Parts: sequence; structure tokens; C-alpha cells
Amino acid sequence: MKLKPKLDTDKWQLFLALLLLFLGLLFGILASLHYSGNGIEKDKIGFVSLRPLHVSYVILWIILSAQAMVNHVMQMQSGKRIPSWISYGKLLLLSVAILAMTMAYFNSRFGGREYWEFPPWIGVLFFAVWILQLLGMISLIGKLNFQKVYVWMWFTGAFFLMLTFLESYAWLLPGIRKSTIQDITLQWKSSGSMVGAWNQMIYGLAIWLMCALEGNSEMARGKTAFVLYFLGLTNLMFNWGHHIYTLPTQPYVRYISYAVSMSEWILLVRIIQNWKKDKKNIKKFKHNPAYYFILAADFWIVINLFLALCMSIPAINLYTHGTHITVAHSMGTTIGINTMILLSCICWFYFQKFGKSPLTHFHRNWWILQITLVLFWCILIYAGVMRSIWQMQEGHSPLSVLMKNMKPVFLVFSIAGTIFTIQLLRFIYGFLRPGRDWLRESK
Amino acid sequence: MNPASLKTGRKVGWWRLPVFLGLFLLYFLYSMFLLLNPTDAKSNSFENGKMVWQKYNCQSCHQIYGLGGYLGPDLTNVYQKGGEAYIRGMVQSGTDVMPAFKMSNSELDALEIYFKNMNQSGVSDPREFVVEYDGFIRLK
Repeated sequence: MKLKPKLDTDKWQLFLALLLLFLGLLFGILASLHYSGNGIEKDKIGFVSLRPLHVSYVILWIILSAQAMVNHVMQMQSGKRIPSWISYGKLLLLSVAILAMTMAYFNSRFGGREYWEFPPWIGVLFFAVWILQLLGMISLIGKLNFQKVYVWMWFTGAFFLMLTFLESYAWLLPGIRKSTIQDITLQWKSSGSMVGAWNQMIYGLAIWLMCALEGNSEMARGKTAFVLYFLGLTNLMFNWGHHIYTLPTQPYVRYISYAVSMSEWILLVRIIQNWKKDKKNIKKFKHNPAYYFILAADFWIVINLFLALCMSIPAINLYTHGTHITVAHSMGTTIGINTMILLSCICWFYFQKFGKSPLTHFHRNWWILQITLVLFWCILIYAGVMRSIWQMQEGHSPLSVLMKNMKPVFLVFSIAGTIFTIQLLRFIYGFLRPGRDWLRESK
Repeated sequence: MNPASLKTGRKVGWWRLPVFLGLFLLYFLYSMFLLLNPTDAKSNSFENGKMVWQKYNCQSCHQIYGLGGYLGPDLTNVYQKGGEAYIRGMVQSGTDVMPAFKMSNSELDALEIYFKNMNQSGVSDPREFVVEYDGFIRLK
């Protein structure tokens, strides 16, 4: 399908997302240095600014790149363009919001909450972007085929991102933030479901990509695909309570979350079963770099799903909650799963357009990336176990003593993070190197 | 393969939309129930302290009920452990890692009340919980 040439706002959004990924990792490294006592002077740009810069940028990388690729694929499939006022309006609002957010963080002007610590008025700009994203997708609806599960997943992701983002600002309503426990419950309800929302968009992209690689969309159409989709949706809606098992909120929040989260064992078994098939596929798709990132994502899904399932059992959660094991889980999902799937999609587009790999020595670089990520993840688990042992000890020493003893561990963590970032930068450079050729009309 | 060629002509199974709508209705009711039924009493003084907590982004280093950053300690029950003078002293003088915050007296008062309320709301120390036979946990 030939589309009219025009400024491709989705590609610009993708380039912006790649830049945010790099900056997010850079701020992450700087923030991690504070753990080993080598951070920037605490009265200059301290941890209070670096952490939100790292978290918000990396989350925006995930959301914005997923949206850009979903829009691109949906426009290709429907043969229609998203109206210009939506595309340009979205890009303009995004640029203003990111600039305002960055300035707020650098000037230590906070006021928001976890993930979005900027003053709430900037949240209005982001909310407008999420609405425009959904409107853009709705504008293509007439020509889309709703028989494929990934189209459902993309709409679910865009809709729930908007809804949960709005819910995460429920504290602005008079009355909500006056209640200690309700306030925390609602905060983690919205944050937990928001993660599920962007996961829907990304897993939808992964299924679409597998269909595109195999050249058949059967896996996205069967009953099984939809049953698994509804299982994911149920988890998005009700499996957020594991964040707050120790919080004295209504007991049924814990019961529902525990029961729903255990349904994820089905997903785990299913993925392991599919691995055998994937092994065969590797020979078929050896030439396509996208497949290697999908393979990496598969590995991280199994590891992180197993960890998430363990952490959803309250008896285990008691030991992991409030430790770096939780960080390992969130880093494992955002980098190991989300970023690998997104990189895989970018590789696919690159391969389609230029017919080659974005990097020379692709396999060697891919292996270095994965090994440093495994190292990074293992260090976090180790740090989490140390903290867990400390917090369960009767009459334990102050936290500062533990943190001092763990400085060498955190230094290795920063080094692994730095190697990973440099390696990822090579891929980002590889993707962006063709410059203007990217923006020319797709083949 | 061009993604445009992934189109097929079969119709969507009838059951998918009702299942989606049913789940969404449950989610909506659950959300509204949580929104309209707070577990604890409402307090204006808690609200002011929470705003100070957010304004200075204390959550980037500290946790409440184990939620937040891991550079500093969990502060859910700091009021019980240290009291008002301890909180005021830490905020104003800082530590090796934490900068000294220049808060006004009214902000410091609000923060103290926030920690007092938080302390009354429950316990975050995992040592205070016991594991039950079905995998759940409860306070000792």
C-alpha cells in the first residue's frame, strides 16, 4: 500500500524515544553511583533529581516507541493515515511536556508521585498526548481487522494507559489524599495497572512481529490467543495488590491479587512449551536480526515471570518487598522484556527498509548486551538478598552500615550498567545512522 | 513480508466483546468501590504533610510501607522510633548521603504530623508479620 509522502511524525517520535532511552540510561548510571558513594555532590544535581530523570525517561522510551510503531503498523494495515492535526498536535505536546518535565527535574521542582514526579500541570500535557494517541487509533478503526488479537491488545493498551494515568492523579481530588491507606492503595492500583497497559501494547507488537516473520497471522487469530489475551487483561485489572501486601488495606485486595496472579503460571507453562518451536525457528530466521531480540525477550519473560509469580505469594513477598529484588524485577521487565521486544521491532523495520543488520558484528554485540544485562540483574538479586537478610534480622545494624558494606557490590552494578549502556548506544547509533534515508517513504 | 498483507476475511468471534465488557464492568465496580470506601479516617493534617513529602520528592530515596527508593531507610514508623526532634534534626542537617533541606516551620510541622499519622496507620517492618498456612501473612 503506497501512502502519500509527508512528515512522518511516528518516526520522529521513535527517534525521540531512542534519545530518551539513551539519556534515561545515562541518568540511571549517574544515580547508581550514589549507592557506591561516588555520586555527584548531593547539593548539586542529587539523587532526588537523577532518579526521576532515569525512571520517567525510560518509561517514556517504552510508551512512546511502542505508540510510534503501533501507529506505523496500523496505518500500513488500514491503508489510512492518522489525521495531521492529531499527529502534529501529539508531537508538539510531547515535545513541550518532555521539555517542561526535564526543566522541572533539573530545578528540583517536584510535586508528583512515583514515575511522574513532576508538578501535576505537566501531567495534563501527557494526558492530552495519551488521548490523541487513542483518537488517532480510533480514526483508523473502520479499516482494521479485529480478528487479530494484537489489534485488541493495542487498543487495550492505549485505552488503559489513558485511564490509569488519569486514576494516578485521583489524589488531586479533594478528600482522596486525606486518607492515608486509601491514598497509597489507589496510587499503587493505578501504577500497577499502568504497567499492564503498556505491556499490552508491547506484547501486541511482539505477536504482530512473530506473524510478520512467519508470514502468517494464524497465531494471532485462534481461540487460544484470545484466551491468553483475556488472562493478561484480568491481570492488568486485578493483579496490582502484590505491591501492597503489608499495607493495612481491605483484605480482599490481597485475596483477589493473590488468586489472579497465580493464573500467570498458565502463561509460564505455555511459554516454556513454545520454546521447542522457537528452537526450530531460529534456523529459519537466522538472517533476520529482529528474531534474536525476540529470543532474548523470551528468555527474560520466563525469568521475570517466574520471579513475579514468586513475589506474588505473600509469604515470599514478605522477604522480597522493599529490597533490590523488586528493582531486579522492574529492570528485568522494562529492559529485558519491553526494550528487547521494541528493539526487535526496530530491527525488523530496519531490515525491511535497508535489507541488512543495523550493526556489523551483530551477534557479538548482541551477546555482550545480553551478558551484561544478566550480570546487572544478578547483582541486583544479590543486593536484594543481602538487604532481605538484613531486614529480617533481630536487632539489625542501621541501614547505613549495610549500605557501606555493600558499596563494592553497587560499584560492580554501576560498571555493568555502564557497559550495557555503551553497548546499547552502539545499537541506537546503528539504527539512527541512515539518517534521512529512514524518513523516505517505506518500500 | 508486508504487514498490510496480514488481512484476513473471517469475522470476530461473538464472545470476545461481551467478555471484554464484562471484565471492564467488574474492573469499574472494583475501582469505584475502592474509591468510595476508605479503610481509615480522613485527616486534613495528613494531606498537608503528604504534599510536603511530594514537593521535596522524599520518595526517591525513602520508602513508605516498602514502596519508594532504596537509598535511605523506610520511614513508615520513623515517628515511633525517633520522635519529632529526630525527624526535624535529620531534615534540617542532612547526612553523608542526604542533603539538608531548607523547609519552612509550617512544612516541618506538616511533615511531622504526616509521619505521626503514618505511624498510627500500621507497621511496615517485615519482622512483625507471620506467615500463615495458605501463604498469606498477618501481623503478629
